[in-house]
Amino acid sequence: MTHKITLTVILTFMLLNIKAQQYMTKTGTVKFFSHTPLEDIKAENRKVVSVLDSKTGAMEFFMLMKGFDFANDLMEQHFNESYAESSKFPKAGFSGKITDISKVDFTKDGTYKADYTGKLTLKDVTKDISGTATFVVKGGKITATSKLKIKPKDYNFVIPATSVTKIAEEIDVDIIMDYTKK
Amino acid sequence: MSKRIKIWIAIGLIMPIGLICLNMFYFDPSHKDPLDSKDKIYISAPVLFALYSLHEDSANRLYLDSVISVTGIVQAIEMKKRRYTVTLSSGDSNGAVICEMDTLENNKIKNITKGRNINLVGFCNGILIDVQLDRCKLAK
Repeated sequence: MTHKITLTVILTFMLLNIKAQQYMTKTGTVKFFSHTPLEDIKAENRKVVSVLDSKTGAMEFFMLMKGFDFANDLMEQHFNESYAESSKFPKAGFSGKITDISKVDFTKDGTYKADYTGKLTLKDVTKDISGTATFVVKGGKITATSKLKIKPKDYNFVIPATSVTKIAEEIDVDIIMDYTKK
Repeated sequence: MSKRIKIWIAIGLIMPIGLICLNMFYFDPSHKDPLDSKDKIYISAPVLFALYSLHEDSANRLYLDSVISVTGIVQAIEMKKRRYTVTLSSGDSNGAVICEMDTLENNKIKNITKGRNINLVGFCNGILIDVQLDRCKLAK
């Protein structure tokens, strides 16, 4: 509950503080993919809200867990009811910063790579994460992409014994944000 | 042909049919069609957004996962990777109702323009900044 309020406050704060150097999207994408010999599971959320501050390198994104789209209703139901408990933990988010902002020139078209660190919150569990993002700057728009690997058990995803062999210990996560200036 | 062989042939023929039926009815790859729902909740985009803004938990209890038939004025239409997202105005600058369309609707959405009053039916996912609906279809 406390976390839910915190996420809502951060979201409101994000909106109120959008400045000239800030870029935003409400249709960012977060995809995940789990591969095991028994089953491949993939889902994507295409309504991720994200803000990028090109001056400070601060990045944040938030999404509704119910917004993940699976291949069929049964998979979606299992994910929301059994694993993610989406009614209890409806929102997930990331808050972090580009650590080497000098590597990216947001005013000049081009492709740049930069490292970032931050905190990822899923199911009220917050963990430090880090990675490398690619920023494509073109015509005033920025596309940021990054790949992560996360372990469901680190975020209290309880996998029933009957499904352990069907869900990978480590899940591939793709983040794709198409920002426009606000 | 012995009786045993006949039984095995029968099993060999029946089993694939059984598996196909099981796959169709239990592991149905498709999603439910919101238009088929008999429990649609009829509401306007400004009221839906206002209720979520006032009290998210109460609104979730009423609308989360439900099939919502929402009417509103088109504020924006965005096409991304062959999928449309239609934003319905809430009349409030703090947010809107964002409807991710079923790709089966692509041809119909082409004719929708900003400022038009439309009726969409989809599943409610809750609110971030905007109230989010997915697998939306144009109401018949």
